[in-house]
Amino acid sequence: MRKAKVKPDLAVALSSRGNDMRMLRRATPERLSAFSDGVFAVLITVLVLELRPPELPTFAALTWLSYAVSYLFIAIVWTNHHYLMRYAMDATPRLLWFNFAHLFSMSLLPLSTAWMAVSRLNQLPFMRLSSSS
Amino acid sequence: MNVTYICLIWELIDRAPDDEVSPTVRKIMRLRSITTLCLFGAAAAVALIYPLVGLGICICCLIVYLRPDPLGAEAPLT
Repeated sequence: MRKAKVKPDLAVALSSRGNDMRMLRRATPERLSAFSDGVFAVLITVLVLELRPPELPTFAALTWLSYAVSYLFIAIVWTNHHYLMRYAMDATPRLLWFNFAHLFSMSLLPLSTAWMAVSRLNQLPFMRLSSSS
Repeated sequence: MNVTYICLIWELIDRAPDDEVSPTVRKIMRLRSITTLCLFGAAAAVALIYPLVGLGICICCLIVYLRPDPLGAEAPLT
């Protein structure tokens, strides 16, 4: 019977006791980074989708300010996340859940932005943005 | 968000071996994240009275993070 070829780059390790027992592959952080990048991309898209053309020909400064700050926010968070992930060797369960928590807090940013834009200098949305930071 | 960022630092930087991350870099990153966490908290409180000042503090905190690696940090080994 022909044996199936195992590619070396798949790094399928055989157990020392038996040849048939296969160990799981090492959990590399590539998928974690890819998923996070996807979430960041969606968040930026959601931010821009919230922008509406003004009904009157006015320059809605607060809307643009909140959009710009939020965009800067996402860009900086992504940059720092990208930097930190360079240190990740394995996708440990703890890293996965910390990353999900980080993405969760990021996902609330468009809400703060939209609220800030419509509230016209009301204190609560600004407090919300600061506390979500 | 800063809290989860601190958790990520704790998981990735603090647990990295010493030859990858120097103790100085660890210390700077921890100090920076805790300081900005306190500032964000202060901004949330200030924003209750002066919203734009709170926003200004947030922007100042963001400027600190424009460069992700602290000064003196080297790139991680490949």
